[in-house]
Amino acid sequence: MNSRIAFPFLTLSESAVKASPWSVALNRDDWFPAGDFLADWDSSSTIRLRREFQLDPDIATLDLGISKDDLQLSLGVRIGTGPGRLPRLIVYHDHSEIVPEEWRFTFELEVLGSGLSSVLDITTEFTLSAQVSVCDALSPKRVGDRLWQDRHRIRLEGEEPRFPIEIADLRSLLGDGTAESAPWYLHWSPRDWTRDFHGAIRLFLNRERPEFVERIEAQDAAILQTLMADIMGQVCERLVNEQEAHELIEGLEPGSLGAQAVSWLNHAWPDCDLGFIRSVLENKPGTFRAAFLAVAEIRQD
Amino acid sequence: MVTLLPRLTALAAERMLDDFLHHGVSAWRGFDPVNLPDEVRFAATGGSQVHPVTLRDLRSRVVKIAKDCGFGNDDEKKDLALFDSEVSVWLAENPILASGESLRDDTWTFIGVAMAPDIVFWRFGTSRERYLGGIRNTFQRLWMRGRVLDRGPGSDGRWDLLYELTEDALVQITERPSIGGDPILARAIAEAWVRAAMHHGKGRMEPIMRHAVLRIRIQNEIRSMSSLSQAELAKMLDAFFDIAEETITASLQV
Repeated sequence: MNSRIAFPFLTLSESAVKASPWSVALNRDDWFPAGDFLADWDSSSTIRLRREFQLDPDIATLDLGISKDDLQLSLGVRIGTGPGRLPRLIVYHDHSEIVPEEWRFTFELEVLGSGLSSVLDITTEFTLSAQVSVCDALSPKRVGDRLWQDRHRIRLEGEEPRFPIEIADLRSLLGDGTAESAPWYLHWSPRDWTRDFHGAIRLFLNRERPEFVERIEAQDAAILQTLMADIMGQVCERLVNEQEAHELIEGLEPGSLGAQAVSWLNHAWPDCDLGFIRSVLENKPGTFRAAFLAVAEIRQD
Repeated sequence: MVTLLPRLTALAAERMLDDFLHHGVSAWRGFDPVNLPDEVRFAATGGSQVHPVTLRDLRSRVVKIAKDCGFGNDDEKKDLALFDSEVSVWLAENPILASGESLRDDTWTFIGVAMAPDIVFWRFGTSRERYLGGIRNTFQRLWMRGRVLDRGPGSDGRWDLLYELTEDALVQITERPSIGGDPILARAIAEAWVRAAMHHGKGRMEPIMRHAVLRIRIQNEIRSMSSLSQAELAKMLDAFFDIAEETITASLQV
């Protein structure tokens, strides 16, 4: 289930739902475990996906506080695609009721490659498929209430790394006498915090600094820590300084640039409000940046 | 077979855009579909590269719609809303844009920066995000609107939602990935907006829509709204719009 959300009703535990990892096959080829990257995909391919489920009705009724007669569930599978952390477009949506007593089953589907781009984003969920008649105060009651959910993302193209990085000629990119010799440059704009993080930000490494690029490629811990801290610091500083930061943060979607900044701020100052963080930035800017250096180290662990 | 579309990387696009904005639209050399910029790339496999004639037609059609809406004629009043709706319909109906190629930002970066920067300038001026790929790209956002708000071939008023919704309503729906990426939910919200606008008046809809969308987003996290029946989803959304209207009315009375 989504750990960001405090559900206002009881949900299914991991012991009530046993779901195998997704298996994948390209065209008529053999099945193999779906990792986070699917090699050899192109838009003329057909992707087949398969997953096995086993529900334990006894545990499920206990989890949800409902009777076995009311345990009427649906399995929902949504396939989204497109670059970014949230799918740009849902291209496949299946919702089917689970036949009572057939608690063990296999789900299989085919997705045409022509409609896909960059990522295959698979959301699986169990929802209530009928209104519940007798239940506890905290039981789910309404059709569609989400009881269990997971998400698996498969990159289809190699060009969407976990963080968008590119080796570039900073001279032609920046055209600035001083900045062009910097080892890196973070390209981003604070104009739109609602933009998808991956589309809003890109790290350029200076082609003229091959020794630096090599250290990044070799995953040099100290360099990565410094880089990450710079990125987090730059972005968070601007967000904290936004005049209407409170209102802005309330409206942010998961996966957006702003939501990512809020997540970094929460890591650096757990349980602290924006006012406190702003006072750190105003009065102790060194501490503000040092916090991100520390967080960057933790994140590498 | 998929038509592979030209892609322009962010770095090259930034340079070309700097050049375009620095020298002004009058200095732009125009679009040559035969000699694309050196930085343009295509997917290596999976389809056939788009023909230059198709690219030329794509631009010609967009220019034609823009001219009908005031482009190129300073004396004529711009009808930007009509331009947006007409281009949305045309892009959504265009078979070469029906594949996953259209979900890529670099495809739309090509269109905004290399193929039709003059139209972007006319529509939005110098705002960079309107040229570069992303949900604010002049053409990408219109394609997305057409794609998710299509009532389906053969439907009565197939494209009416694109003409009936205000710009604010369209932005609230299509520029939020959790809503705009889900055609079932996006269309249901748009239909509910039309019903609410008839009831409460179009002029009052902006705050009502924003309030309703906030509730929808929260509710959609705990309830799978797009798995509900069409009637049930419509009823639920109508209730959200009513609550939003009541809340706003009450806040004005305090």
